[in-house]
Amino acid sequence: MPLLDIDDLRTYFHTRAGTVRAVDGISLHVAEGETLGIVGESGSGKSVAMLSVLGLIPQPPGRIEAGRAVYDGVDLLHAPQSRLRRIRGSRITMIFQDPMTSLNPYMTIGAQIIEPLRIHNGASRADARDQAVSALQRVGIQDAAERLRSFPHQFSGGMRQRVMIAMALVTRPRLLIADEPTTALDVTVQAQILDLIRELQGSLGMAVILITHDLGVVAGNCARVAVMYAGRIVESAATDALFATPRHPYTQALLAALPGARDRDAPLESIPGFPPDLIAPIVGCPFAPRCVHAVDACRETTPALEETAPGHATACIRAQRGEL
Amino acid sequence: MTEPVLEIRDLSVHFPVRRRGVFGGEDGLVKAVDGVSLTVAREETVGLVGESGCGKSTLARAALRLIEPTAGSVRIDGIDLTTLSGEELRKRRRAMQMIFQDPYASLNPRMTVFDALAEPLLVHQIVPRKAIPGEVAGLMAKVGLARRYVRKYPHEFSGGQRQRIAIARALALRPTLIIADEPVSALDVSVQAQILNLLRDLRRDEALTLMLISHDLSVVRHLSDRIAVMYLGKIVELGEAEQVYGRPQHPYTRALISAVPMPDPVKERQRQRTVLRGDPPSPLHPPEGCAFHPRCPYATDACARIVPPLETQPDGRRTACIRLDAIEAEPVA
Ligand SMILES: Nc1ncnc2c1ncn2[C@@H]1O[C@H](COP(=O)(O)OP(=O)(O)OP(=O)(O)O)[C@@H](O)[C@H]1O
Ligand SMILES: Nc1ncnc2c1ncn2[C@@H]1O[C@H](COP(=O)(O)OP(=O)(O)OP(=O)(O)O)[C@@H](O)[C@H]1O
Ligand SMILES: [Mg+2]
Ligand SMILES: [Mg+2]
Repeated sequence: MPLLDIDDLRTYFHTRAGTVRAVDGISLHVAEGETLGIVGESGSGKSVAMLSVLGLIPQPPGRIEAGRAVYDGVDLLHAPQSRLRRIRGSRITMIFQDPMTSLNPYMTIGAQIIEPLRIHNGASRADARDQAVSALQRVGIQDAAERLRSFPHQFSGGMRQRVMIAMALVTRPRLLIADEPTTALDVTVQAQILDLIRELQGSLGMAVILITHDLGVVAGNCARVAVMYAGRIVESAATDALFATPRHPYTQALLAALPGARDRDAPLESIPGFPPDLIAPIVGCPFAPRCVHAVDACRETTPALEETAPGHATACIRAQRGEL
Repeated sequence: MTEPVLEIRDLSVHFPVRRRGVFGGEDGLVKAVDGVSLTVAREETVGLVGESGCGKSTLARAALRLIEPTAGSVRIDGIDLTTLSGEELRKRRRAMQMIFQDPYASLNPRMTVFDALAEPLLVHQIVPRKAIPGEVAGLMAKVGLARRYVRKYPHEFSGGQRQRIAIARALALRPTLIIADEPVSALDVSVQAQILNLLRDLRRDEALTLMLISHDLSVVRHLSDRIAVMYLGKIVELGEAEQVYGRPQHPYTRALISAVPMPDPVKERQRQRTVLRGDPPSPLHPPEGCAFHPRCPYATDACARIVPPLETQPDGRRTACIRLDAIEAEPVA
């Protein structure tokens, strides 16, 4: 049974210019102890989808138009704020994409880690302090006891990111949503953090939703992957299958854009054109205008996400017909 | 090599850190950058990599005099920036731009994309007033942002979209030197490819000189002519990109390269990573001798005493390690 089951989530922003359909009908689930990767186009709705689940979308302009997100029998999208607050920050935690805006610049690092422990876990001050020190040590911050007194601007980009990670793990959550958690870390520290997360998955059965642009991190850490484009999931598969036989043309183009896939002097492969305007209604497949395989039918019918192989779903009518 | 654009000599940046409580009232010092020398030639791209917190961003800021160095000198186009004043400094500043690591903090939340890009164009009179809308549209296209976003505010954008606004803003002034601190970390690989291609084109067509800070070693390798590896405030290895990436010498560089995740699940499962023992060093209590020795699989007693100089090797690169002969003879991994 999935720990979190998201069904047909739609989050729109109602702006002066029109309605931005940032997340337009996504379904996904993650089981206890499992790691689900979410990758995709910049601006495709990865962060908005996860923030929606946690009730963190500014409303207005945002609004959750439809869908369910069932965690432990509770639909988070329709739960009262008080209940959501109790779950968020303790049972489900999130590592936010932008460490600087989610850390309070006027509060010491220590105070920011200690607070959730006091609120959610009812820890005593001394106990919370000890836990904060060991949480910082586990993410590789040296002189943790002294560093508790630092302010965020006195930390490097990667140190701030590790503080966020320490904060998200310190309450021993059942579900961790990690939005680009290691972008500011060098690869050795990144490996250390990913090991730590894996260890907690083993010992706590923690489930992880990992949003990342780093396809190497996906390859090494995720059991399954969902690929997003223009507010939708366009492909979802076991990690091995996705890398070995990507079926959606967007996924194929993404993998082809990796540096190292070609020699240094050739320009890298990128996808010409822009992602679609999320305000104007999208007719047909949202990727069709940029797709090298598009035919007339692609511009007319909206492809549903359907199985093209066992456990492998693709929202592409040509892949579904076995033409790609 | 052609003439140097950026000459950093013996640069140090030390931050005083007040320590209270457990350790009493004595003050500490974080030697964020400690005696770094680095020269970047015209049209050259130098990649700067290293452990989180090793001083890369601080070095970049000090190089452009956004913060005052504690010691050392920086020359840009042969001129020491401290000797300049007023108009002259303003003109120089225009030609060198930094793309900051944190795109959120570097954008004004009350400015639309148009304002953010038009402002530098106006202030520095890059194009005539009438030409500004066209110039803004051109900049947006270059970084892959559709024109319809022009009247939007930063909070209406995703992480990667904001990062691209910051890049476009730096490019607006047509700089000849850019220090880019993690410019593509928030971008999917397809948009990343577009930005990397753009930087290459600028180097070729407009003689752009680039210092590229990134944790993504495949990006650094792709774009850089040379790579500098930093560890705890010092450069430990500096050489041609293919030398450093393909045949790393310094034990820290070796560990770093071995930890690069590969976008291939099968290879990832088989990979042998050199696991660094111990924790990253404390900048408040740096180890004696070679800063890497407590974690180094090759360290001897001497490494705990001697600060290894950055020495030129037979193949032309420079490496700061006194154990290179022994390592070549018997590599651990
Ligand atoms: N407050 C807002 N008002 C209007 N549009 C918004 C707002 N917040 C987000 N959007 C839009 O919603 C879309 C999805 O944004 P989201 O941050 O989820 O993207 P993402 O997939 O996380 O991208 P990235 O990889 O760049 O972080 C974007 O196109 C963005 O412009
Ligand atoms: N204003 C400051 N006051 C005190 N210490 C500082 C300050 N700014 C930076 N430091 C310290 O200097 C060291 C180097 O920081 P810097 O930001 O240069 O690292 P970095 O190599 O860019 O790391 P990252 O890869 O994580 O961005 C860190 O130990 C940091 O805590
Ligand atoms: Mg995002
Ligand atoms: Mg930095």
